[in-house]
Amino acid sequence: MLDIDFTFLFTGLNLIVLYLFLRKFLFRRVGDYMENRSRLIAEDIQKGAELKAEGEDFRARQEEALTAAAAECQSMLRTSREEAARRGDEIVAEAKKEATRLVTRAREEAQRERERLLADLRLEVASLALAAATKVVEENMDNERNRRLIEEFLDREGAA
Amino acid sequence: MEGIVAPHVYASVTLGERSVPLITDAVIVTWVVMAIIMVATLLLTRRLRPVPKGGQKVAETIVSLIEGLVKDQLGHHYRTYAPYLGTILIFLVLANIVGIFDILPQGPALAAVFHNPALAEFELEMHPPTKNLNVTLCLAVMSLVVAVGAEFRQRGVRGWLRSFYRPTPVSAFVKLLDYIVRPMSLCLRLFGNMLGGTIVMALMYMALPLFAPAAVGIYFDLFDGGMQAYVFVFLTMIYIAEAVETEDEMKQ
Amino acid sequence: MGLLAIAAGIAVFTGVGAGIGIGIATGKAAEGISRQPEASGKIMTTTILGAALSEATAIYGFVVALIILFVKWAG
Repeated sequence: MLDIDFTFLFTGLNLIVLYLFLRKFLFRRVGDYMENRSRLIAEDIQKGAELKAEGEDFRARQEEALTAAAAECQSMLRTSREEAARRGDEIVAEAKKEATRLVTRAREEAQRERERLLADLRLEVASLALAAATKVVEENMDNERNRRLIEEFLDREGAA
Repeated sequence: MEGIVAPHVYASVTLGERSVPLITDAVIVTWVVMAIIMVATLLLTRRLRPVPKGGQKVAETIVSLIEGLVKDQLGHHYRTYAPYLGTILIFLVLANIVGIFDILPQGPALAAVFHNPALAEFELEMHPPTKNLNVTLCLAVMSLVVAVGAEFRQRGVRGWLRSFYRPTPVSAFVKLLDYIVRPMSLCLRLFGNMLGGTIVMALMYMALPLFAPAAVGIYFDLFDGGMQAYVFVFLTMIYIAEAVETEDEMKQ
Repeated sequence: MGLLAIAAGIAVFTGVGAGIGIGIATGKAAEGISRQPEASGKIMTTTILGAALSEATAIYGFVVALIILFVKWAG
């Protein structure tokens, strides 16, 4: 029962064979695989974090750009509104000026017309007066007093 | 009872005037266990995928369990020693509980069924190989060799020799005694437990063949077998840790 | 044979020491767990290991009994 026999030797050989086998096919293989995988996962997580940071950065920059664009838009809008207002004022002013000019010209025209009419009228009146005077003269040509009267009249009329 | 205590010899050689057993039942059962382990390993790790599935999960669980166990004791040295400790753990767990598969029909029954008288000679009871003292002694000696090898690896041969007379030359005696007592204790503990368990189970089968062996077998075949495998590996690990750690402490 | 059987029986008495030892260890472990339930895992492992170690004495007695019974003594 307690004798040492070849079982001792066989057990040693068996265990060495089993050890080499399991080391190669179980512990090295699976252990390396698991290690590789955990490294891959760690790398993936790292990469994910980097990508996320990059994304955050990108978003921040986009947001900044968007804000800038909005501000620019606002300022452009304001500028154009001012421009429009200015232009409108200008146009209105011009129109007013034009209207004033037109009114002035019309008034001048009217004035001129009246003057022309007055001149005509005076001419007419003069000729009428002349005719009357002629009549009067024909009546009392020698009447010095009358002739002076006519001249006075004519002067006064002419001054008018 | 004699048939359980004494190994069943299949072949023997004659050395001088003594006939020494060459192939015993322990060797054959060891081969069976080894074949099972090897085939299972190849099946479980056939195709490795990033997302484990089925057998790969089992293999990864076993490997990470063993590595965690070894890492607890040996720290960063676990890479070197986990394969050996894992091998003897897997082997011992299966070898110790192989007794519950003691269902092989023996020679006379086979001969009657197959009408072949040649089969009557066949006899293989699936008893744990660790109930043979040779097997446990070999395991214990290998544990000692590994522990001393770890010491060599860590301190070199000269450091190992120096450890004999440090702190006092008297410790050389203690250390030598250690080298004898440790494997003896490892070997006898495993051997005694497994042989005792097998004998108790045989007595149970004799006394109450029907249901009692199932209940008792849970302790003597399964629990005790797993326990002793764990204890054996744990003690080996502690011996290695002792050889490895002192050097780390000296460096600090 | 009769004397050998008695000798084997006496050898197996080493189990008394192992029984007492494991009993004390388990009792202390139970105390420890009741005091610190969160450490039950570690206490359990240590207890089982200590039990297995102190069991060794009983196993030695058992092996000696087996040797007495089954080894063919010369003469």
